[in-house]
Amino acid sequence: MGLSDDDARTALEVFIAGQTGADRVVTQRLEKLSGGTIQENWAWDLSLDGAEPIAAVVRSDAVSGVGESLTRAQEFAVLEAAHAAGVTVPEPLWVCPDDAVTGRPFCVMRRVAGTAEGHRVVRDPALGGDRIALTRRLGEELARIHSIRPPRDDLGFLDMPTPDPARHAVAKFQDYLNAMPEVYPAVQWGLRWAATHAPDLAPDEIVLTHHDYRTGNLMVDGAGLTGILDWEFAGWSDRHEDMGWFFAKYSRFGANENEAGGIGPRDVFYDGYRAASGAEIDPHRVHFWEIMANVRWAVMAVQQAGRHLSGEQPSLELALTGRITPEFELEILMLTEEYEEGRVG
Amino acid sequence: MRNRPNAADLLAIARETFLSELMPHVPDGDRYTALMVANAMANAERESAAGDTPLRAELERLRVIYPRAPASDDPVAVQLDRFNRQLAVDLRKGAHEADRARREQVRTHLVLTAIERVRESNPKYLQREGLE
Repeated sequence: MGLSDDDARTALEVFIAGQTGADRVVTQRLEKLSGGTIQENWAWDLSLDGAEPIAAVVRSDAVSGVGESLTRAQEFAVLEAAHAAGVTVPEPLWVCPDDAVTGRPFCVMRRVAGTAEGHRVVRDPALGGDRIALTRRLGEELARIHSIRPPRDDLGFLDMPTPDPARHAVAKFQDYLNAMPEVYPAVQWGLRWAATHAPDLAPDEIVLTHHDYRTGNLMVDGAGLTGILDWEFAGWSDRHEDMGWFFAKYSRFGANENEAGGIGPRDVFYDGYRAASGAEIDPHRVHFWEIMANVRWAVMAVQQAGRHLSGEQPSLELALTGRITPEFELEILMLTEEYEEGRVG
Repeated sequence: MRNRPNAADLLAIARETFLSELMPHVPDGDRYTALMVANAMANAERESAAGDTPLRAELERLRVIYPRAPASDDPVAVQLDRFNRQLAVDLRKGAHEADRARREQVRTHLVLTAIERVRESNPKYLQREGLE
């Protein structure tokens, strides 16, 4: 989106005036933020009728979308639901579901302070405040996300996984694997294991899952958590799926001793989750989803490398991502063995 | 046998020169990209230095797993592709699961293959995991 373009900026201001009823919308700053291969984020400081400026983020689709992710309007609806449930998220402000204003759909959220950069978050003691308190808080926040349950008219666009989340995920990743030009026996090993160990789930256990809840998507400042970001993959699933994803080694950014996202101990995270939800946690299910998390990472790494190799999106970053694949394969092989030997949780 | 310096030698000195002489002049905003460039060169250097030794080791193990496969003069990469397609099909069916020793044999092969790949892509990972 050419937001740096004067016409686009004016169109954006006129749109917000229409949304808010303000007579005058003035842009003080509009600047593209780094990162985001799937979405594009712009920092936007605007004031309405001369009032105190609002620090916002404009989020739009990047050039090439990913099939699985929500549209901006859908992501906005999920964000509104999470905000209403008391989850710490950037406050959703306005959404434009079509191309009419800037050429692409976008949503505007209040900007939150801090950084989400994983390497810094796990290493820099000045970030995130007390680590134990932060770990517990992250458990509580996830419980709040999972308090959102179907049916929900406002989230009617989210598909229900059939026959259940685990078998649905196994079938989906098997399809992805089958569509690849190369074979990945270690990933196939993981999927076969998952197909024969998929946990059953009663329909009333389905909750809203973030589907990308991990260090790297959690904004923190010097005091603690400021916002949970990147809701584009949210969907109905087993609450243990978010935990397996959060614990997966890749999202610890090398701080392996801290199993909860490189930030703190797993038990403390569980304590926070239990306290806020009253729900029990099944470590076997978490382990299952941690294996599936590595299958998902492996498939994504191969797909990203494929976008580079096919010439669709030549990129050093995508190329290097492909080289991470065997690390996920090793994790799959280690975790399935731990499960078989009863070393779970 | 190619002349020295070979591809790995060239990549090693190119990377060293890049890091020591150019990196200090790279603006902060471009450091991440510069580090990715250095990382890609290190990857390519290790792969080039290893040559096809890891691929031959992988093929040897697959021949042990599939002893009845006919001998072949095809290039290593072609043979590996054929074996791995068979292995993927068998794994999906659970063909190696009934016999414990067979399952362990296949798993060990997969672990060694992944380790050989990571040795080229990110050797520090193996040290951190106590696998090397």
